[in-house]
Amino acid sequence: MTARALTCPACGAPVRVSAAGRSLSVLCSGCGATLDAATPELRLLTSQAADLAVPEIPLGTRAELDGTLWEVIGWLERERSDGSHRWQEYLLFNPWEGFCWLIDDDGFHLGTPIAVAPDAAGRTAILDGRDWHGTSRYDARVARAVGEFHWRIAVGDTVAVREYALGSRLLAAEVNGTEASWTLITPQPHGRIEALFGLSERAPPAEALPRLRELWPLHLGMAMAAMLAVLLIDATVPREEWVASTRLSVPIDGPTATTSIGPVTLPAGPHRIAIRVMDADRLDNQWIDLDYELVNRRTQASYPVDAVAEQYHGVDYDGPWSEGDRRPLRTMAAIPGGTYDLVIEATGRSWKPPRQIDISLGLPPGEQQIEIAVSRDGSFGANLFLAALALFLWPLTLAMFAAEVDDEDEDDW
Amino acid sequence: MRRPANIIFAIWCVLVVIIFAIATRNAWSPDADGPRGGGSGGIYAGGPRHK
Repeated sequence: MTARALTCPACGAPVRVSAAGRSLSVLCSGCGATLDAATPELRLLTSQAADLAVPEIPLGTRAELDGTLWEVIGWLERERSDGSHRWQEYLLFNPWEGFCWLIDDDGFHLGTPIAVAPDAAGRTAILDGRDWHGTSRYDARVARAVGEFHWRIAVGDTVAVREYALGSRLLAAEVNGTEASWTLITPQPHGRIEALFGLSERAPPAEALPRLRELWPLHLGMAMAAMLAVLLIDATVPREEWVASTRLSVPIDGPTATTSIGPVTLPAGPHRIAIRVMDADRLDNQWIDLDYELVNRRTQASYPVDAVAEQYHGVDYDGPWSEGDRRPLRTMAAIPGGTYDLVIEATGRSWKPPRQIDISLGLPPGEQQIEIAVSRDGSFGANLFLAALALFLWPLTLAMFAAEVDDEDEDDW
Repeated sequence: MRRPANIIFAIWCVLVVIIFAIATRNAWSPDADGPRGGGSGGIYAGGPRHK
């Protein structure tokens, strides 16, 4: 390599110029002065401008990367102009290959200059026929620097950076005025650069978040395919069929009324049974306790379930209120085939709102006519709902998260 | 990282379909009120819940 050993005109410290004839400025590691590398005597450009720094990889270190011997000739620390992020960059030099960058930013990355600028329009840059998606846009400022550089560097120099991503690689455009320089940034496997440059082992960087943007459409498609299978299975269920009903006269505040509906005939195999109060519309501040029991005529096996048909209303300090379900629905699962009777016990009760004038005072409580019907088969809506929840919760959560990431990117662009 | 996530979610989807098919075949639901479902009507004794 064409190296020159000189001294700093400001402090007398030895200054090494490795890329003599190509470097334009050198920052003295002894005093931080910026020197003109294009002049034989290293003319002083500016005296110390920033804190002195000692790079983790010493200047002059050489290492072979992919068959090329590189020497570290410069180091700079950059930060976003808003101060939100800092990273380091090493300038590597080889007399035949020129310059490249070793970027230390949550792991090492290799930055290779691109001679032919990609086509960039809006958030897309095209390189080698492939689209790179714009991910962030920010201003980068030189915070500290030492060593030699092939341009006139000064602490505080700021350039506008645009980054485009394709997989794990980045394209970075640094725009200074009307001039843009492009760099292809490739992440290096953990431990590779450390081993080549003799650095102590570092903890591996935090596992990168999976690229959720790319993951959720596939998972949503898988969920939709599975949901289609679920709907096809559901379509094989026999449709709900109302098989029996009865009307029942229930005394209010009187004895329990009893009746039965039957026969309810179920073919072999498990069945869904639904029992619904079809008509109890005249319930008024009353309730009817309903005890159902589905009894197999042959085996006497019984399946109980209960319900309450009810309606209440009143007035309180917040105004009028009402509540209650006059037509409760009860379902039974996995009832075996056979011939059944549905035994019904119904007990009517009345409720008097407190602190209100009871206009029915003195009148007999009377009776309520209700109609109860039984159906067999049909599908459980809750099963469909739970299947949809189990299938779509994950991809939709991913989609929402990806949308947030996109929003952040938009903000950053 | 991405491939295991895809495989795990694909297995999950297949499991959901299988469980749904078994529940459908057995006319079962956790939402049913009867003794073979999620629970019976409970101990509610009537009267408004309004306070």
